[in-house]
Amino acid sequence: MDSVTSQIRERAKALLSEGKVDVVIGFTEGTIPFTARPVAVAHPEEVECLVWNRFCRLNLASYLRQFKDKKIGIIAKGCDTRSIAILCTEQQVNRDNIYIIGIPCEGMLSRKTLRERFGDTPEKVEIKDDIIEVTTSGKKESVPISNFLDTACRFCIHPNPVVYDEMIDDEVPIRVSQEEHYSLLREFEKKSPDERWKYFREEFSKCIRCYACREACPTCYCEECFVDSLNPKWIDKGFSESDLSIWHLTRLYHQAGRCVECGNCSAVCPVGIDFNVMTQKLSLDALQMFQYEAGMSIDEKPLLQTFKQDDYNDFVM
Amino acid sequence: MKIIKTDELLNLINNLGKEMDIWAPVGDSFERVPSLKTVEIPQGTTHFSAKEIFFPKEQTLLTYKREDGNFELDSVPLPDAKGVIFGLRSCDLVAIAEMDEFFTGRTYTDVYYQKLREGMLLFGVACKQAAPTCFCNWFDPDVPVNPGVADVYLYPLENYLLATSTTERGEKMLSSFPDADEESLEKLERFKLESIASLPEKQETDGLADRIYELFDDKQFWQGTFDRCLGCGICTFVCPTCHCFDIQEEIINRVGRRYRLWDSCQFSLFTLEASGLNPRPTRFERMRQRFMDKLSYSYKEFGKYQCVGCGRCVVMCPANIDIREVIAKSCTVSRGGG
Ligand code: SF4
Ligand code: SF4
Ligand code: SF4
Ligand code: SF4
Repeated sequence: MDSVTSQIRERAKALLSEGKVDVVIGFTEGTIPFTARPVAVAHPEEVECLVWNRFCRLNLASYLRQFKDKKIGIIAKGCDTRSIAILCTEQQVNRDNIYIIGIPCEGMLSRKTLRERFGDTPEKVEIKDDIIEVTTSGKKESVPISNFLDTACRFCIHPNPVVYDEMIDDEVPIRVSQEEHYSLLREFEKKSPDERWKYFREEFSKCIRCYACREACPTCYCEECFVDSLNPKWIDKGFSESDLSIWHLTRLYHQAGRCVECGNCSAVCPVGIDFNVMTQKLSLDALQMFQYEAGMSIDEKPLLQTFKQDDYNDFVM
Repeated sequence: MKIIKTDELLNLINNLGKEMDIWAPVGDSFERVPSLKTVEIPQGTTHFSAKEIFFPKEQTLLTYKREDGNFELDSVPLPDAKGVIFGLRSCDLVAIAEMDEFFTGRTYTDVYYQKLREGMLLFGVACKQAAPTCFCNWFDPDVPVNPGVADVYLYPLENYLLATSTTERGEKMLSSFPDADEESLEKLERFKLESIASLPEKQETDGLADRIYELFDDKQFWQGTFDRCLGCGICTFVCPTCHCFDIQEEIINRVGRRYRLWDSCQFSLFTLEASGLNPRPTRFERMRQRFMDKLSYSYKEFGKYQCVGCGRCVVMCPANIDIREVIAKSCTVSRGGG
C-alpha cells in the first residue's frame, strides 16, 4: 500500500479514537475507473476505506459547510487548504473546529482526458510512478502520467498545503514559475477581442445549466444564488447567449479575490467547459492590483472586505 | 426476422435522410449527421441520452404581445421535426416507452412532445457486449436484446444484420428484405445468449419499491450517499427517463414568450413554494427524492421503475454516486439497520 494512504489511515484513526474530530473527510476508492470518491468517515474502524491516489481530484473544502456543527478532520491538498482558509476568513466555518491533514500534491489526473483516450470503462488501470497502465479490450497501454494532468494542476503554483495542522509526507517541488503559472492566460490575451469573445461564446454555449460548477466550488455558497433569485429575477433561465454569458461571467466575478484556481468547476462540468483561463485572470488581477493571493493565510481579511488608502483605484471615476 | 446487409442498411437510412434528419451517437451524445457512414456504435450508452430530441432542454410553448396592458396570443409554435434516430440501445428504448407513457399515455397528452416523437423513426441496436456500468438486467433480464418500441431493431451479426420491427412503419421499411434463414436464426440465438451473459450478476429487484419506501426515514441508510452528493443536476439531466420541466416567461420589448426547460429535483427551486416554504429544504431530501422516485414511487404508482439501468448517472456523477450501490444496499439492510 502507498505510504501516504497508510499514514492517512493511521492519523484518521488516531484523531477519531482520541475524539479530536467527529468525522474525517477524505477519499475512498471509486466504483468506476479514473475516480476516487469523497467519503466522510465517522468511526475509527472505518478508516481502512481511505485512500490517496492521483484521482483525488475534487476539492474537498466544498463539503466542509455541511458538517459545520461537527469537529471535522479533512485531508487537504494545496488548493483545498487555500479554500479552507477562505471559508474561515469569510466566517463560513470555524478554524478551531477543523483539523487539517495536509498532503503535498503531485497533481491530479483529469478523468475527462483519460476517458477521451481510453474510454469510460477500461478493464484495469494501474499507476506505476510516472506511468499509467490502462488495459482496454485485453490490450495494455503505458502512457506517461503527465499527459493526463488536470489543467489546473499543470499550472498550479501552490501544490503544498498552505494552512494545516499537520502534514503527511515531504513537500513537493513547485512545478511552474509565477510567470508560467499564467501561461494559458498570456496566450489568450494575445488574441483579438473578437477571438476572445468567440472563445467565451463557444464555451458558454455548451452549458446545460446543471450548476455543477457552482455546487462544486467551495466558495460558491450563497444561500440564494443570483440565478435562483425569483424576485428580483436577475436573469432568465434559458439558453440564449446573453443568459448563459451573464450566468458564467457573474459567477466568476463573484469569485474575484476568492478563487484559488483549484479547477473544480472545470473538472466537474459534464460538457467540458474550461474555466481555467478565466480563473487565471481572476487570480492575476488580484495579484497585480492588490498584491493579494486568495487563501494564503487565515489571518488576512478577505480582499473585498478591506481597503487600504493606497489601493489600486484606477477604476474609480 | 429479416436479413439486411450493412450497405443496404446504410442506404436505407441515408435515403430516409434525404427527407429528414439523421441522428446518431457522436462522441457523448446523439447528434444530427449529414449521412450515416457506419453501422458500428460504441459499446454501452452515450453520456447524454436521446431524450433531448423529443424533449429539448428549452422549448417555446407560445408567444404573445403586450399592448396597453393587454396580452395578445401571437403563436403556438408546435414543432414538426422529422428524423431517423440510429443507434438507440434497448435501455434507451425502454426509457422512451416510459417517456411516451408520461407525456402521452395518461390523462393529458402533451402535444409538443407528441409532435416531435411521432416524427422520429427509431432504429435500435442490440448490445453485443454490455459496458461494465450497464445493469439493465436488474430490471428485466432480456433488455439488451429487446426491440421495445423501436421501429426497426437490429442485431449486428458478423458481417450482416438481422432486423425486426414492432411498428407498422418499421415493417414497411423492412418488407423488401429477405427473411432470415435457419443458420442466421441460430446465430441470433447465440448472439442473444452472449449479450445477456455479458451483463453483471443480477441484483434482486423483486420488492425493491417496498424496500426503498421503507427506508425513507432511515438516515443511516442514506448518509454515505448524501455525504458526497454535490447537489448538481447532472444525474437527472443525463438520465433518459427524467422528464421534469419548469415553465418560464420572458418578455423582451413587449414580446413575450412562454417556454419550458429541463428542471431537476436536485435544485432547491424545484419545490420552493410561493409562500417561501420549501418542503425539500436541504440537499438531503433532494438527493433522497431522486432514488425514491426512480426506485419506489414510480413503481408503486405506475408499475414501472424509472431507472432502466443504463448507467449514465453512474458514469457522469462527479462525486461518483452510484445508484447500483443504493439498490444493492437496500437488499442487505433491514429497516433501521446500517
Ligand atoms: S457545470 Fe458546466 S454545464 Fe453545468 S452549469 Fe456549470 S458550466 Fe454549465
Ligand atoms: S471558481 Fe472554480 S477554480 Fe475557482 S475556487 Fe471555485 S471551483 Fe475552484
Ligand atoms: S444498459 Fe443494457 S441495453 Fe443499455 S447499453 Fe447496457 S447492456 Fe445495452
Ligand atoms: S437513474 Fe441512472 S442508471 Fe437509471 S436510468 Fe437514470 S441515468 Fe440510467
